[in-house]
Amino acid sequence: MSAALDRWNPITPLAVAVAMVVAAFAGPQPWTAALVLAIALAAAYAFGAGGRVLRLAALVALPTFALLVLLAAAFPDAPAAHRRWVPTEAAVMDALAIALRLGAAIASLGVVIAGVPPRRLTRALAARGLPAWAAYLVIASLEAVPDARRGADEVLDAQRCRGVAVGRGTGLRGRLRALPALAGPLVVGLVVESEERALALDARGFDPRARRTALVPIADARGERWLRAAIWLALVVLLGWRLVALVRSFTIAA
Amino acid sequence: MSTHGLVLSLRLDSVAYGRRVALRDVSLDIGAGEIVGVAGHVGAGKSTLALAAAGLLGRALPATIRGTIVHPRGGRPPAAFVFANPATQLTELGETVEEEVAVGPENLALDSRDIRARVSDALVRADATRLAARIPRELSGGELQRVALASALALDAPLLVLDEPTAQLDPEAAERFVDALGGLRARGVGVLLIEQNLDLLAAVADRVVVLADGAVLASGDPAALLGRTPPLDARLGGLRAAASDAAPALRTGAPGAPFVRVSGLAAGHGSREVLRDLSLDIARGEVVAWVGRNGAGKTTLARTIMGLIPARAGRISVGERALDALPVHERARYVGLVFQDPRRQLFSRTVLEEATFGPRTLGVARGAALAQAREALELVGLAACERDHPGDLAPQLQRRLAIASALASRPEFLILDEPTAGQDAQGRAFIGAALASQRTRGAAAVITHDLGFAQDACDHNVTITDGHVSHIGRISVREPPPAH
Repeated sequence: MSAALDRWNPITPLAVAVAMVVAAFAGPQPWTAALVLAIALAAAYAFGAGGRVLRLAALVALPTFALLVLLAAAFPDAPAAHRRWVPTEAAVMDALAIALRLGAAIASLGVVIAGVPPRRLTRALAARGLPAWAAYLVIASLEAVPDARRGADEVLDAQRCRGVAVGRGTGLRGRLRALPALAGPLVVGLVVESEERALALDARGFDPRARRTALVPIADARGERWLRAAIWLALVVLLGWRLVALVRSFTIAA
Repeated sequence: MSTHGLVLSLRLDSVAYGRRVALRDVSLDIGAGEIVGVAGHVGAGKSTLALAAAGLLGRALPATIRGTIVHPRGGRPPAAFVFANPATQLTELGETVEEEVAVGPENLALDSRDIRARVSDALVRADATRLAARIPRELSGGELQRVALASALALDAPLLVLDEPTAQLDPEAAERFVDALGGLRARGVGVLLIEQNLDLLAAVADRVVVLADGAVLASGDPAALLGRTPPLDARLGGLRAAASDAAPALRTGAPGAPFVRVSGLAAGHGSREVLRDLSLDIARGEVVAWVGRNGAGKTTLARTIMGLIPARAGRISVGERALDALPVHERARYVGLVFQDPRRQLFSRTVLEEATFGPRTLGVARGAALAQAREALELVGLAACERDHPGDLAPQLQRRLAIASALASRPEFLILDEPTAGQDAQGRAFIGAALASQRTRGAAAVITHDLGFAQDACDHNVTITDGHVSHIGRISVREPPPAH
């Protein structure tokens, strides 16, 4: 998937994703959010990360929808109080709109996260003035889970070599007994590694406030710059239109 | 005091971590183009001196420093540093080796052409050009050490501080490292070299500082100081050239059926095939050295025998027992494997508990497990520390604790991966004794680039080249085993 997005400056897919999120929240509901979600999922499938992005979006959107419908059914508006445990059509549509917005936002950003290597993204952001500490924070956050997983695998290997049984066929008692041997080195290792990382950065002249350059500067084609400008302009128009509509609705109500 | 021509002027009254004083009364000047060696027993304060010289103490690493550390040439950073554990060098800011080496110049905000030039030059000088496109965390220890050196060289600092830079390098790479030091001298870079390989130190250093218990024991001409008989400090040992270098007679195991048998083994990582049709036999009572270039497949062989990497083909047996179908935790009854980095296994509150864990896990009764653990700790010289916390031990002692933990389980076949890296003469002697004790229990294999240790402690060497056994023969420090 990353190969498909590698042709682009990472800022461009990020701008597209942000625009889609804003559109999903600001556009007429629930159809805009549904359209954004569909586009994001189509893009994710086209880039080979459809399953992951769909799971992620569903994981957030479906429970949100179910919870909102349940709340609407349990605590109906006063006019529908006699229909307890049966949600109104409006309540279901509201829940659907909120769930679709969340799903659209997750899917849009998910395409960028799955498709742009974090180091490439931070290099592009650093070229636009992102301070070194922020760039490092982004990478460290994105790498924290794989780092911990690698550390856990190494601890697991070391303790299996000492006779610790893990996996299928290991009873609850065996798992509990193995816990300190697995958790102890992992936790200590993560602490020690964070200290070592700080030392390594210090030894390589890392200054959190300073600007960094890049071995391979990321190209930013004129066409992409125009595309991003058009996206920002469209966003301003969309938000302006929504603001005018909001003000008008208040005026009519008054 | 004039600092003209110096790259480091250091006057330390003391350096302490909390209440523990690690260094006292140390003065050290290093001139441009000068190579100063530092030797000392484990815990003598060498790494603390190195970190202080590089200006890293008191910043990312908290310490109380009384005294002055001046880098007359300035620079950002004023000194480049190569850590004893090369994995510590990795910032993770780079996806590939090339990008990781570029991190330093990128931090200096150089333009991309200058970064490219520095990275290429550093990779060449560290003999790491062929690793440029590899992912750092997938490299072997020796390969990682070259990347660590390249990362430091790319900073182009006036002072280079090297903490055990050859501990995991194969002999050829170590020779190239010595050449690289000569190049640095010509460029006017000052070098502070911490090294347990005293022969290497004597060969490259202009002068040497010997530390003992946190203070300077002596300083002066390397050959004169390190070649003394008896040695200046028994824990440190002396030059190998001063001792007898006659290779011992080729010892062989008891004749008859092999005790450990590996035949037609194939294994790898993902699509990369590392072991190809590898076969070797080890007799009962034998201790063999597995040698070969970094990345040749030695550690992969150990991990495959242990079952951590699935064998794609071939058979493995210890004694009469075929291991092929056994899961890792069952193989632990017969095979003990000690990794290069012991920190991934230590978790107990005391050294004794840590050594007892293996036998207890394998079902040995508490009393017997304690006896086995104490015997193993005695062998590796840690009996006096049995109540200490494993986390408080120096890395070299943690490594010996990991060896004791494996020995305590009394495996029939013991594999040690680079056990002598960073060890002083005393530590090497303890590990040698531990291996000797394994002869009565079965057999042992040592993955090592330390040919001196291999000559002293092992019966013969097995050279592994590109995933298969290319040579079996006598070990000689003067004549390293052929690469092919």
